[in-house]
Amino acid sequence: MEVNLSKVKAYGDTLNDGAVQVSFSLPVPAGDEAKEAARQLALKMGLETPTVTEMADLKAGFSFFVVYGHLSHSVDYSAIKIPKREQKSMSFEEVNELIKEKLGRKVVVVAACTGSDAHTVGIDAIVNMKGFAGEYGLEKYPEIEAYNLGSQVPNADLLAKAVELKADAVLVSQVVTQKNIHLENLTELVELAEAEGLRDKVLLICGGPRITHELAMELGYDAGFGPGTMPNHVASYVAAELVRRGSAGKK
Amino acid sequence: MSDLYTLVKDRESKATAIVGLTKNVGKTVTFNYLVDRFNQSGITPGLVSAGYDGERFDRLTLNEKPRIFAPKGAYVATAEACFEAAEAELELIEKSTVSTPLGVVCLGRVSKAGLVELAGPGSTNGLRLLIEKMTGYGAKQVLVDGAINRLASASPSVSGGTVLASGASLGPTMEDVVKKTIFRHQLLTTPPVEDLLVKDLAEGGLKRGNAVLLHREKEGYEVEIIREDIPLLAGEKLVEKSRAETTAFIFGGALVDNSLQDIMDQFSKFPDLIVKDATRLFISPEIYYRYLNRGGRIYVMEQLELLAVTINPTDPSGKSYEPKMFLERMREALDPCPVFDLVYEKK
Repeated sequence: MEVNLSKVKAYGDTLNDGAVQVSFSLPVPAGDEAKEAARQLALKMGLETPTVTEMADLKAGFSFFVVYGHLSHSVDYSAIKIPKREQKSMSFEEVNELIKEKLGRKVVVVAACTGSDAHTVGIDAIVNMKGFAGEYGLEKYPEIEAYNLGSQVPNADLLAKAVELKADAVLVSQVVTQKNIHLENLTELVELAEAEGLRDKVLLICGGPRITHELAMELGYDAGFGPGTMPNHVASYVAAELVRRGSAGKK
Repeated sequence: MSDLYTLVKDRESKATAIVGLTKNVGKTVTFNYLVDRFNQSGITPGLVSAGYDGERFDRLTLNEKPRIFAPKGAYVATAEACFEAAEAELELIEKSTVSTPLGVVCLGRVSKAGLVELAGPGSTNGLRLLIEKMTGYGAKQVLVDGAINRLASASPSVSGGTVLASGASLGPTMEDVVKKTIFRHQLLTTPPVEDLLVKDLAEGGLKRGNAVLLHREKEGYEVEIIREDIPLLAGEKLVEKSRAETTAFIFGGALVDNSLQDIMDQFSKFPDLIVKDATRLFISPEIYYRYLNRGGRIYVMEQLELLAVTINPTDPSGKSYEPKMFLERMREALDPCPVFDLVYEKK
């Protein structure tokens, strides 16, 4: 089978047949009219020769459809380049071992939900002793001293506390919504750290349901963690980055 | 009136920062315009970002965004993952020590023009290093793309000139956008300390501590140094250490609302407040204007060179204003600062 990577089409039964399957619900009762409506919608999607292969009555005036059809479009797969970063994660034991061996001192982590944010579920799962899904939280790591400052902590207070505790890393949890308020609270911490001459002295890490590495970079953070993050992912990053930066005998 | 390119070029600084007041105000449009104009004029540009830019879709709204085009011969600094994935062909010159979540920042030269994604360091120290290196390799004008509403790259310690981007997405109404832009513009153009003796004493004092008081003494000043873990904490001590003869408070780091409020509560005649530069001001408009109205003065030790403001009359998540009217309103509000709508004026 010879695939032309510059013109990749959807695959059904044979190469380049463009066969696709879509499913959706309509707010109309199941019936011949609904079936025709589903077929017409599929045509508008650009599907050729659409066939409604399944129709189910969802009751209360709703119906559900599965439609097969053919898509003439292709994409140039060979031209797609996505910036990627492989993140290696260590286990609980490996992280502690690395800190003990390479840093020779405890790592201090300060965590908080900042500004007006009171969604502590995420940060609690990462920091608290019991952790979640069978992974211990940072408090349980013998080589990590973790402080959870709770919710609605002003950025200035968080920085002051971080310096007082000689923190290696500051963890901020924020639920970023499309309204920019939480974004601006995240950037304020970075700007304040910069104004106070602390930006290179501490790792700034953010986490939350919409946070990605790329968004973290836009915000000016050293790293960002999104959904599915386990405590050991954060611990691995902090330990490895401190070793990389040669922060061994810093304190 | 000169065009934006001429204003930036005539400043003759090594690096120019393009910063925005929020997302979607047209930073990238301004950045691309300047890259193109410098390139057309044979002045080799260097491209770097204080965050991450050039991706096709906005990460939060999924709206399509303007992309970044790197012309042949330009210098580019971007994280390893973006360097490798660039559509433009880049010749690697050096891998820097600056690390980001997408790998270390690589420096290269464009051998075939095309799109790039710029991912840069989160710290101004990292930016300074990259500007230094690009200039060393031959970039004649480094353009620093800002991120979201972060202004640190505009600090005179990083960039010799700054272009500020503002636009419809800054607020719910045109008047609100105008008001917020005036406020930011005013903060960023905070005047420098004119008394050279005061400036000298402030600089000397901040080498020994992170907040300083100047007390009037005969013809000169007595200098009192405060040293705390961080400048913010030292700044909090200024009020309690002040006396009747105190004429100036010098803040080694940020000046925040709480400090201004304390000063207004404790004094009837305010000492002058001095910060290193305008990126150290973290003040809300209400408190700032109350302080000014009561005769308070704020100065910087090093002035930020705000060259122009660019505006975007469209908010991608909703309303837009009639470009001509918006431009005229902003010009009037920010006069004498030059204001441009690069998209509208091109038509």
